[in-house]
Amino acid sequence: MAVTDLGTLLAVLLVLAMATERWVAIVGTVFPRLVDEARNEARGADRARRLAVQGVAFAGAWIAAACVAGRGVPTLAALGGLVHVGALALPTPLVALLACGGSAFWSQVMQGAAAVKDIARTRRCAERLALRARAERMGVTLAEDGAPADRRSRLRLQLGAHAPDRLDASARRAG
Amino acid sequence: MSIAEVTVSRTGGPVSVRVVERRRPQGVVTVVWRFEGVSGCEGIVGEISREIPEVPLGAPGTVDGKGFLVDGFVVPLVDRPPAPYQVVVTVVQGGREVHQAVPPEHGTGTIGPDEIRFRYPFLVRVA
Repeated sequence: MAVTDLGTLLAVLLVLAMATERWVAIVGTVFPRLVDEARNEARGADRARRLAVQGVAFAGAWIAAACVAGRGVPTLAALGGLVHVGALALPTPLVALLACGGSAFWSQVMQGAAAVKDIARTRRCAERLALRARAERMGVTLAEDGAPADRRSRLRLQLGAHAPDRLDASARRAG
Repeated sequence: MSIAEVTVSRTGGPVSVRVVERRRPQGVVTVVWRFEGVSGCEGIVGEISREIPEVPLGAPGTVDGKGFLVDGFVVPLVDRPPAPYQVVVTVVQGGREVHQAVPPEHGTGTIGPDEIRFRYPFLVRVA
């Protein structure tokens, strides 16, 4: 799975989770008993209320996911269709189920993914700087993108890349 | 690959190595590595190109027992059908040639559009 696809999927899930939360909040406003925990003290009644809230959340997430799958129109076909994110294609009910995780959860996952991308970017920058420093020590010209500017510079970098460990063995092994 | 042994004089002056491609217009890109002996690489002594064909190795006292590896590429400078080339490695002391050889490994042949890598290891002894 490409990193960009993963990032896009997380963004879609975050948006769907936020939409689902708003949907549950609206339903809770229309039916206050659904979100009023104090009035559902009995264990059995609260369990039923929780199930109802989760059902409402899943229904909202499913419709929202169908909107994504149907390019803005939650058709019946889209309800059982696929949500396409880059090279990924996930069933709409599965996306709805994931979106029920809540926006806070997906926000944290996105932050984690962004941190991983930052680490990878930092490592690439460090490698590029190290290569540039080595090239400068060797008197090799590098282009803007960090690649050797010409054939001779590329060959010069190749020759100085690894110190041989033996005078004779290196002659046999060096490529 | 056999390692050549080059004998230099203690009083003959500084030692250097020269690498040229005899049948120009091919070019060379070469680095010279120094070793404690046959092992223990100490680093790059210098680099040789068509414009700078010679690298100083040091005074006789400092190069006695040291190994040197001439590692380089012959680079075709013009696009044309395979052309003959020959690389010659020369060890010079005080302006006088004390050793000359064509690297046995790809030191001579024909070159097409791709570069060819050659190597020549040698040990220096002071007589």
